Amino acid sequence: MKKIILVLALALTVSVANAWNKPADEGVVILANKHLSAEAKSLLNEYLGESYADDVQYLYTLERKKIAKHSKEIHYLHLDSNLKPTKVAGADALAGIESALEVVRGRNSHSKGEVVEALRTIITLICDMHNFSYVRIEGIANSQQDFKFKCYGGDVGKRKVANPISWGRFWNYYAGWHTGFSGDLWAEDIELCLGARRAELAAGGLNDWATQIGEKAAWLYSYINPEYSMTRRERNELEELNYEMMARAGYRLAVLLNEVAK
Amino acid sequence: MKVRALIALCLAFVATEAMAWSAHTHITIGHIAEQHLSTEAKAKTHHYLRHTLAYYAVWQDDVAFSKEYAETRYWHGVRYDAKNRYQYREGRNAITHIIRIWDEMKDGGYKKLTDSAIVVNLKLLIHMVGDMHCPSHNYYDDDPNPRYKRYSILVNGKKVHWHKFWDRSAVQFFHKGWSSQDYVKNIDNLTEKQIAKIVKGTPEQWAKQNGRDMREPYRTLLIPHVEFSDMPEENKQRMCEIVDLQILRGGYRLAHIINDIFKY
Repeated sequence: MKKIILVLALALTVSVANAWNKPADEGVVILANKHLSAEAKSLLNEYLGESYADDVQYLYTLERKKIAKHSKEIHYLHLDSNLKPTKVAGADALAGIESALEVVRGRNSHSKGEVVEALRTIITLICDMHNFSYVRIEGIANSQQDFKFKCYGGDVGKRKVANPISWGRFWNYYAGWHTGFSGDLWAEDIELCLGARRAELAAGGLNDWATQIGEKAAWLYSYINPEYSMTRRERNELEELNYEMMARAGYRLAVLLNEVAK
Repeated sequence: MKVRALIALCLAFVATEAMAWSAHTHITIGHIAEQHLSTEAKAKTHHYLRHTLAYYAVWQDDVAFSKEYAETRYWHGVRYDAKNRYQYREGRNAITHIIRIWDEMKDGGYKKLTDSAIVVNLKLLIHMVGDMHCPSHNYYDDDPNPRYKRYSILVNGKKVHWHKFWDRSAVQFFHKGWSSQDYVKNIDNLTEKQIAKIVKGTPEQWAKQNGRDMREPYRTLLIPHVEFSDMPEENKQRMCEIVDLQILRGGYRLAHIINDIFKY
């Protein structure tokens, strides 16, 4: 019986291997790169080189290779019922970012490998925490595990059918719909769409960002649940919010790296 | 006889509403077009869309099953007669709407439209110009083996319908793993003279050219019920050339239309 419960629990855990998908996550980093100071650019160049393709998947790659020392909970942003971050060390995205930032700040007393690992951790987790499927809020049961709800393919014709989709897959859907976008194209498009709002989207610090993400997630969890059937129009409208989260991730990553490179 | 004709008619309508190129290929066409926009057209397109052309490349597929845009389901393909003239079919074809939108917006016509009408027109153009160049979205009334008698080929032993094959051909069979950026790097390298030759003419003339050229992939290159990897290399090479050319034609012609629209 215990075995069955364990298998079920594992099946319900989001098992996506990126925040959005590889090119979209890479796009977030390229977007950040457009707004880096000279010092931050040189820092990234020194430790990561010019390609970010592997960096955006870093923690997932360790998990796939079964050499990860971290808990999978590190991908998740954990908030209490007042939407304040709980920051459990080693098992929370925000805590992971904060400790990685410390390593980068004190880079002169760390090995190159440790700094590389820290930068990659920041990149992976900043993407994760801006994806709503990686937000856990105390008191909201649906945020504690992946769940399925229904989504209509359309409102007329053969697509007027509601098919189940998991919460995790749903937030990957938009990036998948734009399959063929390279990281550069994602960055170009996000900048074109939301570049004018950069200052507003990047304002605040890590704790403010966490609470802000929590507010939006709580609003989503308040009506999207296993009994919910979403129309195609609603799904299309939510893409704007998802896009905004990708932009926030990119612009905020730039803020963090600029600060830490000083 | 009447029943047979009715079935044929129903099937014809079903097939014209099928989705076309994969999202990936549509995005590639949009991305190629973006590289060839004039400064003026790029600024105006970005002003209205707030996104790149590539972003909206699959919008028409996305809204095809909404009440508001249900009619656009029939604007994804083109039918031809024996002389490769596109068939009007009560406006249920892509060419009619490409011409309509271009006419409506050119010579400063877009200035008389609301911003939201301009946005919808642009999104439709981005998709329809791509679709009219998709081999499997060119249909032939005179074809002795009509598309509703569908056949499949085999890929790793699994049946793949010819329509799906052509829709996904570029990304799945010929340039696996390429992003739209890779296409731009690797195939968008025609000379100005070659591009001018491709964009010369009207959508009717482009359709006629497609109608003529697409008979080859439609009829002869894919061998029914044969494993793809066992097909002659020269067939595969020719299919790849056709798909690349159609992607470029779609991209260049889309840019040409948008450049013309925003000339004034």
